[in-house]
This record gives sequence, C-alpha cells and structure tokens, in this order.
Amino acid sequence: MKSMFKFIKQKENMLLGLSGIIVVIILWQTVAAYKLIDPILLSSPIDVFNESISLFKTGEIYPDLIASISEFLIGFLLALFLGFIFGFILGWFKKTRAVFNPLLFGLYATPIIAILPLIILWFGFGLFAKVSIVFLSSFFPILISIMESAKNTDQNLLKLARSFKASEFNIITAIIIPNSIPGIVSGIKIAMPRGIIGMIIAEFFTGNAGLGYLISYYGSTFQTAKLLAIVILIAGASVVFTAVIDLLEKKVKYNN
Amino acid sequence: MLKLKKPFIEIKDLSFSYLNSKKEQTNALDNVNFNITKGEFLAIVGPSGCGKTTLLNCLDGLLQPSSGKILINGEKVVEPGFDRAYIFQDPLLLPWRTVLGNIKFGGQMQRLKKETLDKKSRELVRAMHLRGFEYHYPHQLSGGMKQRVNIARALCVSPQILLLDEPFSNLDAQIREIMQQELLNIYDENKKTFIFITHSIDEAIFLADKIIVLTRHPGTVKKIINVKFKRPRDISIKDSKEFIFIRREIAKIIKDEIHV
Repeated sequence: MKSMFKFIKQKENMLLGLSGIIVVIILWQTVAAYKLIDPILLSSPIDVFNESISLFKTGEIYPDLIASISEFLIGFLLALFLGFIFGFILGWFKKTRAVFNPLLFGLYATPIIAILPLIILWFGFGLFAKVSIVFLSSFFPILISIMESAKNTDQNLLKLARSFKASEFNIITAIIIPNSIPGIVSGIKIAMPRGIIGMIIAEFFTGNAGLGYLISYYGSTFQTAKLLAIVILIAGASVVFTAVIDLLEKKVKYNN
Repeated sequence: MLKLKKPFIEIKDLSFSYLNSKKEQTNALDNVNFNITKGEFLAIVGPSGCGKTTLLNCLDGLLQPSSGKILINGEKVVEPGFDRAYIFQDPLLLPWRTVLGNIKFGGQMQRLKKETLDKKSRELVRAMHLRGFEYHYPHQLSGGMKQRVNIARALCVSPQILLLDEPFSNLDAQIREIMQQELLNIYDENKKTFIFITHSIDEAIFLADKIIVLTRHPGTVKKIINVKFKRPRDISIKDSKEFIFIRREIAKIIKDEIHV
C-alpha cells in the first residue's frame, strides 16, 4: 500500500498525462456510441482500434507503409549526411559561411511545401519527388544546428588542444565533433517532424503511394475509421521518435 | 678555458605587443630578460594586466613574441611541444570525457601506446587522489577535483617543464592550501621545472625557489627574489620571520607599481 502510494507520488505527472488521454477517449467513445455525431464524420475509438488491427492483418497498409518509410529514410539520412558535412564546413570556414549565411536562413524560412508543384514539375510523381521534399524539409534545420555548434566551439578548448600539439585532424575528431553532438541531436529533433509533414503533404499531392496518399484516399471514400487509424499511427510514431531523441539529448547533454 | 654552462631556459629581450580593440599597438611585455635553471620552481607575480599569462603563452609557444626569443636547452621556442605542459587557470576538461579519458587526452595527442597510456593514467589517478572517480564526468566533480584532473592530464605527457597559470585562483582558501601542499609533493617527487603564475604573494613564496616580480603594464622584470626555504616544505614556514620579510618586500614593490 505504502509502496503504491510512493509510486503514484513519483510518477505523478505521467499519471496525470495518461488520465487526460483516457478522459478524452471516454468522451469520444460516448459521443460516438450515442451517435451524437455522424460516424462518417467521426468514428468511435473502438472502431478505429479495430480498423488499425485489420489494416495490418489484411496487409492492406504494408505497400504504403513501406513506401513512406523508404521515402522518409532516404530523404532524412541524406539530409543528415549532407547536413553534417556542410554544417561543419560552414561552421569552420568563416568566409564560406559569410557567403552562404543569408541564403541558408532564407531557405530555412521558406515553407518547402510551397515549392512542391515545382518539384513535381521537375521530378514527376515518383519516389524521387517525395524524397526531395523530405530532404529539403529536414536538411536546413540539421545544417544550421551543426553549423552553429561547430562555430561556437569553446576557443579555450581549441587552445588546450593546441597546447598539447593536437593536429588539425585531432582537433576536429577530438574537440569539434564531440562538442557539436548536442547541436546535432537538437537539429534532428527539429528536422524530424518537418520531414514527416513534408512527406505526408507530398504524398497527398502526388497521390499514388504512401501513408499520406492512404489518408487522402480514405477521406475521399468516407472510410473515416481507417483514416483516423493512419493519423494515429503517424502521431504515435512521431511521439516515439521524439521520446527517443529526448532520451538521446539527455545522454549527450554535459551539464557543465 | 672555462666553459660556461648554458642556462636551461633563457628569456632574451622578450617583447610582446598586440592590437587592442581600438586597433592601437599595445605593449604587453617589454624587454623581459631572465633565466631559469633546470629543476627550479619559479613563480611569477605582478599586478593584474602585467602580461603574466602572455609570458607563459610565449613559453608554451602558443603565442609568438613580437621581438626577442625564448631558448629551451639552446633551442628557440616556436610552437608547443611535449617537453612542456600548460596548466590553465580554468580546468578546461572535456565535458564528454570521463576523468580517465581527460587525463589521457594529452597522451593520445602524443600518440603514446595504449598500454603505456593506460598504465600511466592509472598511476596518475592514484597520485592525484582521484581513485573512485575514474569514470565520473567533469560536471560531477568539485573545483579542486577538476584542477587535480587538469594537473594529471599535464603530467601524463611526461613534460620537462610545467607551466601553471594561476591554477588555484578559483578555489576556496582551504582547498587552495591543500592543493599547494600537493603541488609541492609533486614537485619534490618529479624534480621537473615548474613555472607558476600567481596573484598571491604568499603562494609564490610558499612554493617557489625564485620569484620574478613584474612591473605593471607593459610588464618588465622589476626584481628577482630568491627564496631559500628547505624542501620538503610545510605550512609552518608561512609563520617564519623570513617569510614575512619577503612578503613585505614583494608587497611593497607591487604597491609602488600600482601607485605609479
């Protein structure tokens, strides 16, 4: 009894958060069960849950799920890789940074989705167009966080390294890169939701594969329960990703 | 003919000037001359802004003098080297490395063999009273502990010369006294050449064989004072007549400098 009390005390915030979710689901179920809202407009949580299971059981979701995952992974990893390289170059070389800085911040501020019609014009409706959108949406935040943290490397640490005769290579691998890891993680944290949003919207418009395509298809055929099942799946995945990155962020924060 | 023995470190007509924030040429050091004998514990004191740290940076090769030169064993200092190790005022530990990892840093830059470095860093952990903290990160350490790691990291490259830039100035009085005593123990065991910068006259007298008093901006050598307490020293010398006499002498020089 005492230990349960202690458990509640410790996890107070988590339990409060959970209770919020439960209350909303109960309300939602009540509204749906008494048909206060037309089920075409809002399906009950139980229906949504059942549809989620059957989407996987029948395998209906797999081709689109795989399409989305591959678009996202290719685009995002490419953004991470190139953002890493160019971020360090721009962080390290002042003159190069001076050339690209205004351009970068301009592109960072541009809603990438606004150039989607142009991307479709260039690359068509296939995988490449969607990968490009994911890439462009996530590249700039990653690049900028890495650039900022490479630029802000503590001068005293560089002096320390020089006093120990560190080579340029050692300065980069032993000081600058580890020093930028928190920046890299926070860049990923900002870039990931942008990449996911870019992916979904690109799929809406290209309209041939992916979770975004499924959502628009289920919407236009009034399969509300399935539509909501996909939305919740994407939301759930985002929550899990964010939680993993938060954990990573705590691990690499040095508290000095 | 009698062959004169070359001094271990020679500082010859050393001047250092820089452009200040208003782009004016400013002298930090002006015509500094003195020698250091091998194995000597030298302290450098002077009013703030007298170029003490600049002098130490030149000795390490982090800065190049505007004119004059520094010779170590007859060779001109042009860049940092593993014969010297610099102990910064801030511990400057790498926050992503453990205590052991930080101690090894210099040795890794020196490309010591892994086994040698492992053995050496373990020895230093023991010598610097850091046992049980090997896998702690800097943010988990007290100020005194961090400074111990800083010193261990410098000793790890087996330098001939230790350059210490006010290493204890950010510690509280009690820890400071303990660290001074520990530094003396390290000096007695290793017989390396120590060059120690400090604001504290007491600290300089307690630790050093020779004290260089610098003038105010730009720094020049005002006076060289020999301190002849026997080693190993302990805290009781701080109450001796001689100690108080030297302290008064240095304090007067510095006071005169500030009131010029």
